[in-house]
Amino acid sequence: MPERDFDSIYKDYSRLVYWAAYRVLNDKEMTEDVTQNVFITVLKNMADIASLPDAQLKGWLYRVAVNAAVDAKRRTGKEVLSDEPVGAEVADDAVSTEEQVMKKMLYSAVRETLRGMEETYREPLMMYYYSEMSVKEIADALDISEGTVKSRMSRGRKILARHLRARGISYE
Amino acid sequence: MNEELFKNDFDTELSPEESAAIDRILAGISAEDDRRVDYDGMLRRIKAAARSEGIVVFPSDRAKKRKGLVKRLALGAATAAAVFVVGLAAMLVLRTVLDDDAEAPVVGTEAYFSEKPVKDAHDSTPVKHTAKATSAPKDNTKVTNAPVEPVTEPTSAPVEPSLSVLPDLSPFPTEFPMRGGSAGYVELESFETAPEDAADLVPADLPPCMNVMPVDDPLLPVPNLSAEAAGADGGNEYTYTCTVVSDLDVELEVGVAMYKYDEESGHITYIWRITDEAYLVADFDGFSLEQAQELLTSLAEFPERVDGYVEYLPAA
Repeated sequence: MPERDFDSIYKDYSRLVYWAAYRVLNDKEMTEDVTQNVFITVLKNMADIASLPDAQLKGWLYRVAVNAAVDAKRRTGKEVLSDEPVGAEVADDAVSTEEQVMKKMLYSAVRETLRGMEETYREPLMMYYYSEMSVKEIADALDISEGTVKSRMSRGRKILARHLRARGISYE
Repeated sequence: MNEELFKNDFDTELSPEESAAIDRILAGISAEDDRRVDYDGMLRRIKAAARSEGIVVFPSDRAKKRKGLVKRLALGAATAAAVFVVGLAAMLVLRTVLDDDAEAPVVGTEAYFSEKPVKDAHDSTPVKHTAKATSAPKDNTKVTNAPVEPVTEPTSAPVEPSLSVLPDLSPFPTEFPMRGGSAGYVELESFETAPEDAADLVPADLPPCMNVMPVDDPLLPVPNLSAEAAGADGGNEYTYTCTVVSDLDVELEVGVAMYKYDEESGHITYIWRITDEAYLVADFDGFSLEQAQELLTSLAEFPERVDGYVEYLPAA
């Protein structure tokens, strides 16, 4: 198995780590701090990490990120309820203003629903869409069956659909 | 928010179209949110923090190249050793051939250094040898005192082991060609004392388009001086980062820098031992190797720099 260098590990897994931490923290700055600390840990352990199989490395990074985020949250005792996960909206010139407004409303409603969703359903959705983990990887990380992961994701999608319908937001 | 909406009431199934629509929305929103994450900025901060802890981070693909460099050094040393051994063996074989051909008894040390073979080997400088025991190799056990005609024309290599030259393995000045770039050692300057102010890590002659940010984070271990600068001029983008670290696990003489230049990306990294206990790690983009070296060398003159000589602007 080819050994990785640090930059390639960061390129492949920074998104996984960032969103794993963000799911716990809901705060951009704290998430960045945790992400940085996780990758400094990676640097310190490069000799052991460089030759790990992909699946093992991914699982390890996810656990380290979540644990570091939980620790950070406990240390600060801070419950953050940020409205937007990151930065300012970026306007898409190719889309009309009206469409942009509709899209913004839709995305804002989805983010709000995700934040209020029970962790049982939110976690696999965040892992799948934000951290880009497969159903199997999610199942391994959460120590549940793949069927359970699919079932929870399906229920999470239903919750989202119900919220959007209740707000009169079209999503089809 | 209506809490009722979060209840586990899953009696109604989503149609495949609805499910696909929600899937697209989640994929779209996650991609949009992820685009706004400053991964590059985090990477820079990770590397700066790592350096302050004495961890050397080589940019993309450099770890492999570093290994390649070490392999080249090892290969070079092994080749040199092999050449030396072959030369030595050839010399011993030649001696044996000469001795066997003469079929003379072993009585002393003079004969091997008799005039004839030496003269053959040194046509241009015939020397009358009056060799003594002290001039002979100590381990030469088969020798003869009779003049002999060598079967094989002696060549300079086996007769004079000194011609089996070992390459200069001293750390500098040496350049190692690498595919798509180069790496090596260069002697710069040494510092009287390690810099104590992040501003001292900013070369005075950086391009005017570059915004400079000296960083001196009191939360990081000492020394933790760091400076960053970035800017663009025309189509050329420049970046410069410089950090002082201690306890780096790199063997360098004081005043010597190790560099790597990636021709493809234009990225240059220097690790420069500036004092007994301090190293300076600098990264350049957009500069030639010569420019980078000049900018670095100018840092050694920092005690003579005048306050305000460099204008610091907020980082972009």
